[in-house]
Amino acid sequence: MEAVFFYLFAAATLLCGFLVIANPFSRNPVTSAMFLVLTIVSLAGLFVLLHAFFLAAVQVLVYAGAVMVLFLFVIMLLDLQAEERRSFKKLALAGGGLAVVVIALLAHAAVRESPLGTAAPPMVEGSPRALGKLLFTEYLLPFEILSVLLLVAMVGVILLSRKEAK
Amino acid sequence: MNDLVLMGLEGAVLVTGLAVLLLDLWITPDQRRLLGFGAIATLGVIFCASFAYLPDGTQYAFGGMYALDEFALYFKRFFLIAGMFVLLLSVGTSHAEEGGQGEYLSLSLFALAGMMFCASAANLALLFVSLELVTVTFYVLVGFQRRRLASLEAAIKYLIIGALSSAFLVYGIALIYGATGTLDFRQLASLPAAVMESRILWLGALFLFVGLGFKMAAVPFQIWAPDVYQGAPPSTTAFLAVGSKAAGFVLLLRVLHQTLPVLETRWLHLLMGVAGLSIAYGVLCAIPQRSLKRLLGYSSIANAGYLLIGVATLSAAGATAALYYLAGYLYTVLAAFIVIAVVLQHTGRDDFDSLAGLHQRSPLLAAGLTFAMVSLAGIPPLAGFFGKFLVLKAALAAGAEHPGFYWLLGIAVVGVVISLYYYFGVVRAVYWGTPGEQPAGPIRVEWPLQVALYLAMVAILWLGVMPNQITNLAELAVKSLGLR
Amino acid sequence: MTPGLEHYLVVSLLLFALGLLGVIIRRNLLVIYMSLEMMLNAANLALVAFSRFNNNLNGQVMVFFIITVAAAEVAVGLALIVALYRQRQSAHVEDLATMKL
Repeated sequence: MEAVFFYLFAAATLLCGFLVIANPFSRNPVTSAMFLVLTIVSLAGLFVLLHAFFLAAVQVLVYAGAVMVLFLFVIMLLDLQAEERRSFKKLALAGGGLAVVVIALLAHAAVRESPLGTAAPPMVEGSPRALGKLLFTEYLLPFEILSVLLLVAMVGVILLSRKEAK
Repeated sequence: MNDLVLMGLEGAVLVTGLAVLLLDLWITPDQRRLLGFGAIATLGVIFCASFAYLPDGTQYAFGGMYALDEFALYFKRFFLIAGMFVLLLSVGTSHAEEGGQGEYLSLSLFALAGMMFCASAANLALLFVSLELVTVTFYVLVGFQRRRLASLEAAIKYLIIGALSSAFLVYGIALIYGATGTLDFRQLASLPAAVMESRILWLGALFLFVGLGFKMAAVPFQIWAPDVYQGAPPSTTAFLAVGSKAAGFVLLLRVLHQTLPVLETRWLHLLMGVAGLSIAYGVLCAIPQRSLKRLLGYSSIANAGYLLIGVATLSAAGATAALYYLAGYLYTVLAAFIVIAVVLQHTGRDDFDSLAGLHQRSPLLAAGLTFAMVSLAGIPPLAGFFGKFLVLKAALAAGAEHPGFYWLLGIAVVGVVISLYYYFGVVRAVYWGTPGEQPAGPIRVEWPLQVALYLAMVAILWLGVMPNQITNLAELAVKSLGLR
Repeated sequence: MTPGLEHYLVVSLLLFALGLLGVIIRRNLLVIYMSLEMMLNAANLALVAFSRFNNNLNGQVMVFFIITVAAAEVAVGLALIVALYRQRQSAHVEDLATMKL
């Protein structure tokens, strides 16, 4: 049962991920954004299979809910039309392919030679209680620094997008 | 409570940043300068307070998340000095017309706090979060002059490359965690040797190096440097050149020597290769440049190479040399950018032609720029010379064990010789350039910038003539890192 | 047969590679930025999988941090892209004069 869901979600993740970057039917950023939403939701499904329930919820709420809405909002705001005419550059395609092949080779070598399957049977559950406890004890300092980071982002966005003063 | 005392320096910087952000709401534009001076004075007090910390070995706080030792303190002082100069520079040149002087100050302070957290990171989570605090703040600071197209384009370029390097950094952290099951530096250091042989760990460490290489502007992660240096406001560029680069080096040294010592031998060739390529690329591409900021961008890449030679020797002498080199580089770059900021304000350009006749318009600026260029070129008795001398000496010593260092030494020496050409091109433009049709009235330098420039020049000379005080501090720092 | 760590890791690496490919071949800044988000998501999947199979929650806390940082980064990045579009009326990499990737 778990295996069926795994292959379902994994296939959906990778297919939608592919359609984000190279959709044969549309070069419109809106379709890319919609497929990215689907990728993220499928990833949340994989998180559930890994018993990371809280993160699955956060993934849908924050990524699919907030971040992608922001993306769509900006795309609509800019009204990007001209994108569809332009095609990929051959050189970029070759370079991209090369980079991906190198990383795939590195990863293959790394995964194959490492004792992965010997790990203990999975036990850990990502419940909000367990996660919260860790977050507010051991990881308190990075958590607090994140609040500064969010403040910086807020100030920065206001600075960059406020109306020109006369 | 003890935890808060240990991270008191960062806490004070953060509080200063928040205070500046809030106070800015109530004060009139005329008082903005006072706010800036207040922030600088506070940083000065924090700098002095840093000498009250006498860590006995390494002290940990927040459950091993945060480490305080001489090494961290050395870099914290370094970042504080850089922060003071950058604030002075931004108050002196004032982008007030761009809106948000107060915001610029507080964002710089937050970036400074992020760098100081980097110096104390003892956990991959803290490493990531503090590095991102620096990076995200710099996205805003680079694009701060949002009505100048160059500034915005530089910010976009920094954003894309920065986010790409963050993605590699994060994936690297994921792989390291996957191979070892921990994010904590002390636990990583005490893992059994069998775990250390895991290929997944090596791949993760490689991705981590990509993320840090971006911060250091080392080849092949340097593509952003020249454009961003050219487009960003001068005070931001100065901060980027010294602060961001040093943040990359402090993390590299800590990961390499304290956390995953197994990488030392594994990365030897990688570090040597990156160092050699950085020097060659930076030096060769700098030759045809006519824009001073762009020239310094390429010079920054070459300097990352010299610093990496020091790191690659894997010896205490090499690390000490790198730490001293960074200190000399700090004052040199700051002196150069103070001059560039003033020239930009008066002529609107930063190419060599705008420098012509500078020695008549402002002897102080001409002297400051000459000091910086001579130091960068590595002429005795200035700081740049002694830094290069120490690095090359360490490389020569390492060459006995590993002949590859002789090649690196050759590249470095040839690099120094070639760099003489373009650094003295700047000096020639300042003293012997033929001014064009532009008005050649005297340039009045505001007193905060005068003070900053005099201080930087004195420091360059002092570091070069009496290097012992700084090298002693650097040796202490390196010793706390556990290097022989 | 239940899927093991390798299965999740392969999915994650493929997603990472897809994102990298997107960053390199696409010329629209917004799509490039989306590809970057995809790379971060690939790292998230790897962290969650490792967390499950390493029997501790450190990896999941890291994912929490990454999601927050990504949200902040996206906000600043999109603000910059909008500001550039206002000046330039374009969101294309090739239209950036200084952008020599």
